[in-house]
Amino acid sequence: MNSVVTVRGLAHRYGRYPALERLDLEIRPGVTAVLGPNGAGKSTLLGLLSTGLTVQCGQIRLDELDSRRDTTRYRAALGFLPQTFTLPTNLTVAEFLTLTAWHRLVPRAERALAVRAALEAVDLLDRADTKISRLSGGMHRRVGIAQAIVNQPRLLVLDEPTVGLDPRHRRELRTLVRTLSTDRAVVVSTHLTEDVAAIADDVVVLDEGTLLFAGSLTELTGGGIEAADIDAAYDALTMGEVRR
Amino acid sequence: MSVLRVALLRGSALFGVPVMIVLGIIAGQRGADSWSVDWFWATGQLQQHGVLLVPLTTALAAWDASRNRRLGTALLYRTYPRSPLASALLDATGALLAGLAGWATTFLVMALNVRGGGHPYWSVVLLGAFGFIPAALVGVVAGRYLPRYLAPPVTAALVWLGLAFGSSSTKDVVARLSTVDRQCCDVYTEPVPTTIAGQWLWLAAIGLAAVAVLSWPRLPHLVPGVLGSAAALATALVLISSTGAQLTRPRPPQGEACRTEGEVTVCMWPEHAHDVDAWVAAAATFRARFADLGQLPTLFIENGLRSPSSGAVSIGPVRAYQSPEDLVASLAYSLVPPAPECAAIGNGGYGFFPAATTRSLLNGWIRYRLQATAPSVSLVPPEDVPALDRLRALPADQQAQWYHAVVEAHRDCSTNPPRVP
Repeated sequence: MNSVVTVRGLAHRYGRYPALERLDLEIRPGVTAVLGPNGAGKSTLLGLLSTGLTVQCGQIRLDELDSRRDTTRYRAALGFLPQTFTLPTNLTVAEFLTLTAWHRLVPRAERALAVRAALEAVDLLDRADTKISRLSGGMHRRVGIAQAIVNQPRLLVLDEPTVGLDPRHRRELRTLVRTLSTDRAVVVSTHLTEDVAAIADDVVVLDEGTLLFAGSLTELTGGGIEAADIDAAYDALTMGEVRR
Repeated sequence: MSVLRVALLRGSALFGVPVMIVLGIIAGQRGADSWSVDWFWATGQLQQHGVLLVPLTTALAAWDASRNRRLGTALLYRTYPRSPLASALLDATGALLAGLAGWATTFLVMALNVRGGGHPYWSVVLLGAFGFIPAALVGVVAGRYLPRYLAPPVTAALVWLGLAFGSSSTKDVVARLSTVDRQCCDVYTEPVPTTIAGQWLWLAAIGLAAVAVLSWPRLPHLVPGVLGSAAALATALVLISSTGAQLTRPRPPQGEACRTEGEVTVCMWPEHAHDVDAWVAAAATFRARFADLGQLPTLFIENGLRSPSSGAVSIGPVRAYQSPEDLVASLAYSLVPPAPECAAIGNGGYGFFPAATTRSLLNGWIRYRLQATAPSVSLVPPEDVPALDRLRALPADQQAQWYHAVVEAHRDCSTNPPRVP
């Protein structure tokens, strides 16, 4: 399958501290989970993919768009859900999504339809006119997803989307992410191997800014797709037993 | 669903607009003594209220612009393809709307309270409204770059200091750059167009500089902003300097509203024609009360109407708080002679001359002539009470003699004032 995102020679430093080193990566349609311990470089990779961080060295291409040269068009084809952010509680869900659609350059004539489609995708159509302040925590997260897909992005970047959710809402969100990945690339940062087992097609494992693994889930686990299999493979990778 | 409407719902406009309208009502009534004498005077008063409303607008804009950092959405906003400048301008609309609502309310309240005629000097009036645009943009810059919770109060305080102290500066250029044209205007003065044009450009320069900062790092927006700001600033300084930073100039008389009754003639600007009758009555009362002093003025004219003529008493528009007795009193104080030129020390002040020691007694005596039953202790300082008591006890002709001697002593810096018998 053709790659949606191509990463070449990507490196990033915070001052003198190297956060990512010479990363080469192909991201295909479907869900790609980014795994790694704290300080592995997951947030930096997602920051660079989402253009929240400026590329210092290397290149990221989304289809034919270079994230540095074609920044505006690249961003227009991108959806992003940060790990934490506060929704404007005094707006209704539809108002917030309308504002986001404007920020994502959705043409005025298409904005209402785009908002409706996003609401349908996250199953919040009946809450379109509800104030965000009156939504539950799980619904907040779905509104967060909706704002990330309101522009029908080719690349959807989700930073720890299931953190803080109870088991039921986590299951719902996994299903949602799976659904959203049918026609786009979804990059999900997580430290929960259950998430990876449930939704990931491909896995990227990072440690200390270095790519330890990039491939399909079955390649990582040697065929197993349960969380325990992923745990074992992950431990083996991060403890230096396997490198590829 | 309009994006602008959503942005206004999200921002400070919801509480900012009503608050600014209330402040606008208060500001419009404050200092106007319940009504303004004419549109020319109201023009300057309106500018003065910007000192209150503009810093608050800046604070609201800073608050709205720092929202993303307060709510942790700054990272998300950085990933949006919409230009940062467009987002910033959208952020500024709520504050701008609130500021303009406050200004429009002030204007409306003042308009309802203008008693005399004339017309607003629109170049000055609209300069005040225009000032809200750079104020909001500066607020957005502050909200984006200063510490998120400190940005609103710090920026508001700085803008207020600039407006309040700048407009009070004795340096004319600094005062003009504050753009608070509170000295503009009066029935006998009009704004200098070149200076006002310089002020418009100065505000435009500030706004363009803010746009340039907000455009960072997008060079296609940043460069025109910087160049435009520099050009506007340079032109503004040239224009303001070319007039010596002069804000107003004499307004050529366009007719007089005069009325003569008996020996009294009162002439005022046409815009104050409705006050002529009140002054005619006051002048007649004044002349009757001080008839024992001999020859009294017969001509009473308003400032700037004619070149000063000997013996004419200067009058002005009647203020809301002035009763007919106040008008008589203001004419009576014209009996206090000016200090001699030899005592002048500049800036309208004067140094010592012998007759200066009688001025408080003279003022007290005039007050006594206006309110015959008032006790001396309420009319003069304690040290002059015995003298005033003795003066009051004298026959009218001797009081007049004393007065004329006092006037005579004011003609030079060597004549001693008369002693009260």
